[in-house]
Formats: sequence, structure tokens, C-alpha cells
Amino acid sequence: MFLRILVILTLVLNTSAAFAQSYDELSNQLNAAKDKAEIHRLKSQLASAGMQRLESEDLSKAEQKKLKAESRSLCSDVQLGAMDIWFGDSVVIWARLHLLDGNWHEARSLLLGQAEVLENIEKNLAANQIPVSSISPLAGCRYFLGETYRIEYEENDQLEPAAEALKHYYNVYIKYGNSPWGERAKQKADGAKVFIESLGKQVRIELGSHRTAFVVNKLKLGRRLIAEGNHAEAFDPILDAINFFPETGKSAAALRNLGICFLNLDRYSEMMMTVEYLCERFNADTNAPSAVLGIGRKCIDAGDEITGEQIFDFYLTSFPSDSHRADILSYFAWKSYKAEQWVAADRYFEQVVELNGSVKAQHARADCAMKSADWKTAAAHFKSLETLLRDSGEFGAPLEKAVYFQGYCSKDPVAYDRFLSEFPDSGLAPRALGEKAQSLLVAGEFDAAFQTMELLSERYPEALSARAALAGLIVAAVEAQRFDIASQVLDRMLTDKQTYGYNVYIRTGKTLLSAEQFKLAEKAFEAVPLNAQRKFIETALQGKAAAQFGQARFEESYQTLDALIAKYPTTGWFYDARIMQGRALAKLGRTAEAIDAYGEVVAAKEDYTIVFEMAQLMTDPEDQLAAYQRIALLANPDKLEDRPLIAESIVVSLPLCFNMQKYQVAIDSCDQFENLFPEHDQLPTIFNYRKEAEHALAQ
Amino acid sequence: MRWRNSLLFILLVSSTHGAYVVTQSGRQINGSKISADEAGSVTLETSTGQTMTFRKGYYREAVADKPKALVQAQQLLEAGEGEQAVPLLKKIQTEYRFLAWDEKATRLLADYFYDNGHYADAAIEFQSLEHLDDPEVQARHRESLLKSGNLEQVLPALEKDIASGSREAAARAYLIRGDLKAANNNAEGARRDWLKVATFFKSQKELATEAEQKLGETE
Repeated sequence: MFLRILVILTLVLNTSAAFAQSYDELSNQLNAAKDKAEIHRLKSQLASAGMQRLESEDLSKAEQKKLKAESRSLCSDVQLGAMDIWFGDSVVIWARLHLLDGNWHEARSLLLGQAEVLENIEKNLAANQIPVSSISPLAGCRYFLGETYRIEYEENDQLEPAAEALKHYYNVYIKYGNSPWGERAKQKADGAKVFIESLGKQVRIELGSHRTAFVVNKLKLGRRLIAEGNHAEAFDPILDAINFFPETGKSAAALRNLGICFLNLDRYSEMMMTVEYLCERFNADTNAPSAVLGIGRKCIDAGDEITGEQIFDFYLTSFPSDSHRADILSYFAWKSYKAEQWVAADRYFEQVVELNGSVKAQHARADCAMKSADWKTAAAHFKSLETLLRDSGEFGAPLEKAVYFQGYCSKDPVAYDRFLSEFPDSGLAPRALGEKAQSLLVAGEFDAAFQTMELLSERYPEALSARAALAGLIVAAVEAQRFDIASQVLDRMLTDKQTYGYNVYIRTGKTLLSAEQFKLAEKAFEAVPLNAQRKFIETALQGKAAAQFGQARFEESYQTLDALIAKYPTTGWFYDARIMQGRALAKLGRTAEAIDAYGEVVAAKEDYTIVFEMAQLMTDPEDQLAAYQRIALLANPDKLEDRPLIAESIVVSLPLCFNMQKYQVAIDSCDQFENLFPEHDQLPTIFNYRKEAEHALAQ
Repeated sequence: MRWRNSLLFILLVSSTHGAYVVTQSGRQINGSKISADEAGSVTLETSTGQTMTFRKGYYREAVADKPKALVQAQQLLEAGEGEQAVPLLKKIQTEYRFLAWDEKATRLLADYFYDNGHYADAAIEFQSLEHLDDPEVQARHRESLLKSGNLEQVLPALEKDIASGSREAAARAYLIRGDLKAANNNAEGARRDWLKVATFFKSQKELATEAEQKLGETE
């Protein structure tokens, strides 16, 4: 039994494929075929292909004659074999050949004579649960019977054959709507109906028991056309079916297919209308949510993410209890997560957790809070994650992390202790100890912090985190402005300099410089020895000089920078070093040297702040005025940082102009100031200078 | 004070001719007097003098004699003197509560208000007939809400019709909601609602045609 079904199914599949094959291809296949059943099938298909050529191609009479003869011969052969669908097809083809020759009587006689056989073939197919509506030879038989009656009524203008034609056409349309003859039969039926009505008769079609089959076939046809990518043609049968049975168990799926047709036909508004209709009218239908999601997914697959997501939103609003809800929420959650929209992502993850207690989603919630630097919330989420994991019996690495991160996020030493007591052998334990020490330090519990550090060193001497922890400790102390502690930690680190990377000292020094803890900063920078890598030495010397400058030890600062330049004449810090030297020299009263240092810098790079500093040191009024004018005339007024310098340079240059009786320069400078700074608070002073300069010029 | 009013109420609703109660099983019990209290319990006095009480939910129908005031009110309405019919109908609503005629009076009142443009009053009366599931009552109720500007109530009512009303009620609701959207400058939303009727409610021919006309007007 199984084998038989399989054979028939193969035949069905081959039937549909046959339409795509050309006459020549089939002919070649037939020549090569050896299997009896295959030869039987191919002969029928070849006859069908020949028939199609005869009906559609512009052939010469000789070619037509040859093709007809070949087709007849093939049909004869097929009819000698098994009584299957190929047999049925050959009967229909034979009738078509009669019709082609204008012999509708013979065609009708043949079809009526074989109808019972074809009916048995259909019954056999149906008994084997094969969908007959698309492949039954009775479809072709009745369609061409209809054709014979059509020709008759057109020839004789008679009602009876028209009624017969209509009956056959409508039967094909209703029962075999998804067969190759279904849609053609509908058109022909409409024609017959018009003819009958033109004779003053009324046509009333009662579908009776075929009504359901008709609608089902319409839906099948629609599905098949969609699968073939023929959305424009699929549209009508689906809509017809929906309107025949607007609210049945199949409606949601039909509406889904209709929505997909609209999508493929670029009819956005109609597609959204269909989605809304599904959400609103079919809200209680358990098939509706999948239908809505199906349309949304197709939109996304087609590259229209915005519409697809709009449809998903409809789904979420309309079907709060559907089983796919968590999937859609997860989709939105991960999308927001990837876009780093933490608040939005958390909102979705929260709903996922509420729905199904997803561990992954809860973890993502905690992650979102961490990424938003909302540590308190993150700690709470990790706590919830811990509960979920314990409830579900997961006690491995995920649980370790969930407990550890509660400490990490809350910076609560108690939370770290809880982790350390439950997971003393965890790879995260040294890190937890180091961070606990930092937390204790920030909380002002210095003894406890150091004890924790000692415990860390004892228990995990090789752990990287043990070393990193001390460095972290000093950073934490500086951030907490506990410089006394920072000093102690630094001393402790310096007892074992090599243990810590030079970067740690440089970073610490920089942080201390920013906090104006110059003495400590100098100590940190000094931890970098002169045999270290060049990049560390350069930065350390520059930092040390800055720390010395900050302590008003200008000569030492100058010397440190001199040592830097001498050791590395091409250092990238050169100009910064020279500027700082200039400032140090200025503080030491060595003005000429300071100007030289500044001069080197401004000759090489356009830094008007330095020009201004240099100008302030100058003693020759001509030089000084020239320097201020350089700023006023060359600095870019469109650069925000340069504007105050320009204003200040003009203001301080005006007395110099007057001293040197350069009144026109003064007037030009006043004009420039008024233009550039119409609302400056120095304007009254500028007006006064201008007035006096004009007066002096007029004298 | 409350119990005294109840007593008065029972006395007023007493009826003396051709009253009957139909039980949930469909049996009709005739009586000479019938009354109802505020909770919907009906008391029927049979011709043998027996008194039977039916709690609300335990009878299908309880009917008193047709009130004379109702006949009078109907005559007034037919004569175009609806204003005078209103107090009579309101009195029947109170006096014949649970005894069938209250609903008849309500329907007459609702229609009178609706036909004369008193939409807010009509909406209140139609609302109290909502349980009858009468398509015409429902349609007029929604229209009254809409025309009296009671959008707060009309939208939920329309959405209920769309979700679970009859095909006709749903189509009508889509049309009204489309009109509302159009009035609120939501042309696309309106178009989609009308399109639903034109596309999916072809069996409701008149409504589908109306939808097509609306669509045609906006194109």
C-alpha cells in the first residue's frame, strides 16, 4: 500500500514538473527511457507538450500534420497501458486533437464515452488520499466537454448546449479550481452565462454540497500560485474564498496569504489593512497570531524591517497571551541591545522574563543596566538572575558569575564575602578579593582593605588580579580623594616596583597631577627608571617636570625637561617641554631665555596662546605690539578658543599704539574689535580709545 | 427610607390582568397580579390565589398587562406630540421594570430622541437596550454616541462590535470608525477601515457599497 502511494505521489510531482519541460526535452528523455512506467508517463507528457505546441505556436501545415500524427500515436500507446492519470490525460488530449480539427461531435462522443473510466481513476486517486482537484483528468474532460457545447451553442444560438456548457465549466471551476483548467473554466462560464441571459433567462448557481470544496480549492489555488511567485493571480481566488467563508478555521491562513500577496504587489496600505483586520476581527482565533507574524516575517525577509516591526507591534498589542510573544519580544530586545539602546532593550527583556522566566533574558537585563552604568539596578538584576538559576537547579559558572557580579555592581564588601564563601575556588575569587579591598578603601576601612590585600597576596600569589588590585587600589584612593591612603599604597607598591607595570605608575601619576597632588605625582613618575622603554621614560620625565612645576620648583622642572630633550632630541614631547621650560624660565625671571623657548614653539606651530604668553614677557614695545597684532590679525575668529585671545590682544595693544602714536593702527584695531565683538563688555573702553585716536589724528 | 420606597414601588407595579411568567424551562405560568422589586425578583399571584416568587435569573420572561399609558404614549408619538409622550414613557420605564414594558418604553423613548436629534439622551436609552443584541439598536446606539460627541464611549463600543459583533455590526463599526478617523485627519487610517468593509464584507452589500463610495470620494 505504501509503495503504491509513493508511486502515485511521484507521478503527481512529475505532472506539475512536466509543464516546465519542453517538447524536445521530453522527446530526448523518452528516447533514453528504459523503464516501462517511465515510458508510459513520458509518452503522455510528450503528447501533452505536442498539444500545447499545436495550440500555441504558429506552425506550418506540414508541421501541424506531423505533430498531430505523433500525438495521436503517443496517445494510442498510452491507452494500451495502465488506466492511470496518464491514460486519462491521453483521452483528453485525443479529444483536444478532435477539437483542433473542428470535430466537436467526435470529441464529445469520446469524452462522454470515457467519462466513467476517468471517474474511476479519480476515485482511485482520492482513495489513496491524493488531492484530486489539481490533477484529476476529469477536470480536462469536463472542460473540453464544455468546449464542445460552447462551439455548438455559438454555432446554433441554442439555449440547451449553452446550459450544458455552463454546467461543465462551472463544475470545473468549483471542483477543480486549482487545476490548469480552473480559471479558464471560470472565464468560459461567465461567457456562457452572458449568452444565456441574453436569451432572457436567469442563471442561478447553487453550489450545494460543492460549496466547501469550491472554497477549499480556491484556497489551494491561491497557495499554489503564491508558491509559484504569481501573487497577482493568487489574489482573486484567495479573496473569493475569504468572502465565501469569511470566518472559518481557514480564514486566518487565507488572510495571511492575502497579506503576502499585497506585500508582493507593493500594496502596503492593503497589507496593513489585512493585518489590522486579522488582529481586530480574528482576535479570538488561535490561528490569527501566526498569520500576523507570518506577514511580518515576510516583510522583514523582503527587507522592509520597519513595516515588519510595525506588524510585530500590532501582534504584541493584539495577542497578549499568544505563545510566540516571548520570541517577538526577544527579537525587539536583542535588536535594541545591538543598537546599544539599553533602556528599550531592558523594557523588552523584562517582559520576556515575566513571560517565561528566561535566564538569558534576565542576564541581558543585568547587562543592560551595567552598560548604562546603573549599578544598583544591575546588582538587583543579578540577584534575580541568581534566584532564577537556583530555582532551575543551575549551580555552575552562570551562578558563580551572578553572585560575583552582585558584588562587582554594588561594591558592597558583604556581597563579595558571600561570593567568596560560596565559591572560594572560583577563578573570579582573586578578582573579587581585590575589588573588595578597593570597596573597603573607598568606604574608609583602610585596615580591612590592606588585610584583604594581604589575604589576596597570600592566597593567590601568582594571580594577575593580585597585582592589578593594588594598582586599582591607588586609583580608587585618588578618585576618593584619600591622598593619605594613596600615598601609603604608593609606598607599598614602590617596595616592589617591578611587580607592577610602568603604566600603573604613569596612570597614577597623571591622576595625581589632575588632582594637583604634585608631590605624590612626582613620586609615582619617579618609579619609572631611566632604563625603561623610551615611551615610559618620556612620559615619566614630562610628568615629573609638571609635578615639580606644580610645587614651584621651577629650576628643577626646567632641568628635568632639559634632561628629557637631551636624552631624546626628537621626542614627541619637545614642544610641550619647551613651553613648560618657557613658563619655568619666566617664573625664574629669565625672560630672554623664556622668550627664546616660546619663540621656538610659535615658529613651528600656530599656537596663539603661546604667542600671547610670549608677548606678555616682551620688554620692547614694538616687539610686543607686533606680537599682539599677530594674534589679532592672524588668529581665526571663527575658532571659539581663539576669540578671547583676539579680544584680549586688541585690548592690551591699544595703550601700546598710543604710546607709540600709532593712532591709525589703534583705529583699525578698534574697528576690528567692534566688528568681531559687538556685545563685548570692553566695548565702552574701545569706544574711548577710538575717540581719542580719532581726535589725535585730527590734531 | 429605602425600604419604604421599595414598598411603594411594588404597589405601583402591581398589575391585575393577564400577567404571566415564563420559567427558564419554558413553562408559562399565568396569574392575575404581577409585581417586581428593585432586585428583579418577580412575584406572581395565580388565579387560585397562590403567590409565587421568581428570583432574577430563574425566569425567562415576566410580563404584565400592557399599560394604558403606553398606548397613550404611542398615540402621542404617532400624532407628532412626542414631547408629551416622554414623561409617560419614563413613568412606564420605572413602574414596569422587569415586566417587559419597560424595554418597549425605552425603545420608543430612544427612537424618539434619536429621530429628533437628542443624541445624548438617545445614547443613554439605547445603551440600556444593549443586552438585546439587536443590530438596529446597536447601530443607533453607536450613531447616537458619535453624534453627541461621546467619543470616549463610542470607540470601545465600535471595537467591541469589530471584535465580536455580527458581520453586519462589525462592518458598520468599521465604517463609523473610519469616519471618526477621517474627521481627525487620519486619512490613511480611515481609508484602511473603509477598505476592510469593501474588501472583506462583500456579503453585506449595502455597507460594502457605502465603503466603496467613501473610498471613491477620498481618491
